[in-house]
Amino acid sequence: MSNYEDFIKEKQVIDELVKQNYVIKNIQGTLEGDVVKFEKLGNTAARKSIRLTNPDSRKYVTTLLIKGK
Amino acid sequence: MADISINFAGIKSSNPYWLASAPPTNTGYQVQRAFEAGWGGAVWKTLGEPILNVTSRFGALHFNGQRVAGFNNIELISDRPLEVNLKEIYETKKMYPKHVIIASLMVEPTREKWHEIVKKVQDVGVDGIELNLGCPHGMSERGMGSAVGQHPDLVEMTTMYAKEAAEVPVITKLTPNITDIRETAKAAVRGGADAVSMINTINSLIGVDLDTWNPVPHVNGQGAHGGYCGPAVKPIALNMVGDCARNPEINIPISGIGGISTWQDTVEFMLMGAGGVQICTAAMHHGFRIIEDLTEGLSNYLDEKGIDSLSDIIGASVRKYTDWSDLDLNHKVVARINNDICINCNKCHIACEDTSHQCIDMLTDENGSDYLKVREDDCVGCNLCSIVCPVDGAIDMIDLTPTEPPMSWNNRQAAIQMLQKADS
Repeated sequence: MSNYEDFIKEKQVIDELVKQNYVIKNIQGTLEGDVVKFEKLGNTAARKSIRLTNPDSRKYVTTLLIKGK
Repeated sequence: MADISINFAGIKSSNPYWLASAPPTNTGYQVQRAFEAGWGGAVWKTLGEPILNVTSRFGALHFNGQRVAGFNNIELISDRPLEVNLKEIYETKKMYPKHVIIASLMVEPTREKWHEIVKKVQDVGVDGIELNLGCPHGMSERGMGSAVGQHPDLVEMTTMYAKEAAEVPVITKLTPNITDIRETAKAAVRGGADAVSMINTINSLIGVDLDTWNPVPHVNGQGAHGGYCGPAVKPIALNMVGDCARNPEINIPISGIGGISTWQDTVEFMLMGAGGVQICTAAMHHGFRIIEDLTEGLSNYLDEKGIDSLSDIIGASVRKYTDWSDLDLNHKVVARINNDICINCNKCHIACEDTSHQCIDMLTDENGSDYLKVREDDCVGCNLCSIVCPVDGAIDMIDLTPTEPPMSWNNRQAAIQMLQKADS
């Protein structure tokens, strides 16, 4: 799989969570990539965690964070 | 016609070109020849207690057909009595009153020694003094040159000693043989320097002879490290000039030195903050007459850009030189191959496939002809393909229209930290 295809795959996961009203609650850098924790707006019990390994995905998720998503 | 004169730390020069302190400025005869040729100034070969030299003294790195890509020397400071040099400086200054003569000095780091020599050179009419705290070979083994220049406290102290006795501007010349040249530049500022100059030469061994196994150059079969200069060191010098120019604590003029060979190099150093430049290796390689191309090229460049005065470009690129952490992570550049110019040598494909990100495909068109194409989505914009390409214009690096707002590493980390704080 190309790097770009890898990015698109991870980006789709992020976009889907955002679409479902999940917001980024935490980002933790690890040796295996960034662990990103999401929480659903209005439902703090609904949490999801994903691990982003692709560098473009890791840029993308923090760009979303800065944009206030 | 653009004005290419400079006012460097109060020293007026008809052009920004000074010969650096080195073999080309060893005698009055040489400096006078340089002034006749058109050089704006000369930094006299370093004065101090006259030394003894060895033979041989120079070595050069020739790379892929280019002679003197790098140059190395183990020659020391002036081997002539101070009185002889002072007489020639006086005579040369009398003959060429509008040309700049700077006395490069090196003595032991004591107040008395510096006061004594500063007063002596000042009395013969020099326009300024350059403190040689950078020479990396020979003299450093005796506690002078870079042995002083590698210690910020000694740089500050020596500069202060010179300033106590000086009535003309004092330029502290810095060594690159140090982890962070900004620390010694700041020390020079604290010592009261009117300017700094950089870089002196870099510790080096030019090579080893494959038949005799002698170091190059060698003295009766033995070698010692020398000082490296010439075109190969230009990127190192340019970075050090830029790093100092953008540091608010180093708020004095910078004389740029290090591999400057052309008017284009001059423009780069001045854009990056140099208020003037010093040249040695190019003059040693091609003679003093290179000054004609240097001044003419510089003047034409300014005219073509519609710039009236050289001083207008000093430091113009400094604000563009920053820390990596402030660069935009969302900026995207990709390679594009112009197949009408490409000669299908495949160097870009091999470079990308073997050593970069495997994004140049070898394809065949409907006529059965081979061609190369970049998969732009996978291209990381590293520039390697365009660097190894032997044909100008065959590969362009294209700035893509931004799809996301700029975000630096610092922006990113600040946002993550805020998030973590809120989540804790």
